[in-house]
Amino acid sequence: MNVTPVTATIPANDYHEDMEGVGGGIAPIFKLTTGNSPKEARMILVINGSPKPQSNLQRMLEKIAQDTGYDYETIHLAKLKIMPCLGCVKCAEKQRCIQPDDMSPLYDKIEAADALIVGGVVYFGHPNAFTHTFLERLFPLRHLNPSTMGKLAAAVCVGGDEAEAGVREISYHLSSYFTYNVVGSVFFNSATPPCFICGYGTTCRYGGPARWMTPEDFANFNEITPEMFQNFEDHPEVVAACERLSLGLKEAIASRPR
Amino acid sequence: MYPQILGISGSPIKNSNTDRLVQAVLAASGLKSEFVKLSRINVRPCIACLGCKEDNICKVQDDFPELAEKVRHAGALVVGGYCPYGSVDAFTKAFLERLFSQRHQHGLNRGKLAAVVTTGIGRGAPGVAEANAQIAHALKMEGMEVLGQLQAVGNPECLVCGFGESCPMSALPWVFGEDTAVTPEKFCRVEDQEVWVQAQEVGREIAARLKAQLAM
Repeated sequence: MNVTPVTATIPANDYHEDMEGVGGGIAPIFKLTTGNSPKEARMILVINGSPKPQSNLQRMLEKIAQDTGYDYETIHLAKLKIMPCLGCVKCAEKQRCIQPDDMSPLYDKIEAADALIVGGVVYFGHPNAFTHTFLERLFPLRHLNPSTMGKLAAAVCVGGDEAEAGVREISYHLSSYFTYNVVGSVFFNSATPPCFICGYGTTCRYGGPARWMTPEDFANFNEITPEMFQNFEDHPEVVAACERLSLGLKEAIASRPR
Repeated sequence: MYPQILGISGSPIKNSNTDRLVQAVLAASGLKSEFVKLSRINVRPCIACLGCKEDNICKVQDDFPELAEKVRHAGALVVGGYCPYGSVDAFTKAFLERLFSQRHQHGLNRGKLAAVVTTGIGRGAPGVAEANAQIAHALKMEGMEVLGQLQAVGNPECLVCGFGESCPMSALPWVFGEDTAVTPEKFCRVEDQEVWVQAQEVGREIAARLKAQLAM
């Protein structure tokens, strides 16, 4: 297999430059003061976009949040019913969405949190639909005097071999459109496709192994063994990247004015 | 009878530019068609359960299994989305994810003809081309042959929210410069754009290809 697990932390400043090259880039047109109200207890809101229980993503998110030492709450998007944005712009006036689904209680939590960590899994080179739906529904917080202005955020993605594109996209979304201060990000290319557990990974001509391998290698690919399943904990560079991000968040939260 | 050509729109706006451009391809093909607006049905994201691995049928009980039958039997698919925040919208994305169920072992959508439609506020704002490439990539992963990639300029929501002229977050200065007054001529119609002609061509090409397949 020619896909090896890799990871890195992308410095926050890189997002804008990279995205400018790709899509023209967006910078906030005006600078506004933050609309945050001071809170006694510092708190992190963690968004888990993976539908798999105890996934690499979930464990990475828990580690990053836990290591900051601050309280945190994890939201598992796949357990909730959150619909995509309807584009009705009725949120422009009251900064809340009219759709009565499980996103409703999250707006207060997002505004109250000292930092937001958004984690997604990468399908087709982009964050998955659970994650993207959540990001779309942030729209109510974007109008007039955005309550997210300058707030702290981080992005985490797990993917087969395209996780880096995922964290770039989430970071760009949060920083450019929602004026978050993205402290950093971590990605983990797990090289562990669903084809390893479906039961047909060694024979299916349309799965990941068939695409990744040369025809000769695939012809000789007869067995899926436990060591092919990658856990982020077994990759010191991924663990270290999580710890760096955690420390970055911890310091940034500590230096925020109350 | 299943439609020969199936049009899918992820735009939640009523009779939107995206909808009309997808419908233009369907009409130009002259084939038996059906248009599905994802915001009017319930298609949730893939939950990665792999319940589809044996029979290529998604086990999530929402409106996808019924739609999947139409996809499976259609000769061609026209998928339209828009690009909030520089990437394809969540309605379209969820639909594309669920096509995964038809891939295992048999690659049921291999060789299916497809066209991609995306709209966005354009005029320097990123997203239309990116979202277009994103949909095309997902369809190609399912083995489809993408015959046309149509990109249209649509309208910023800030034109209709009521605060577009004064809101500091407004997209209007970005698109229209200093003139942010909301006036009728600022609204784009896909029928006035070059892509409208391309839609007719793509529709006719799909029809010709499908007829040639039937004749073989």
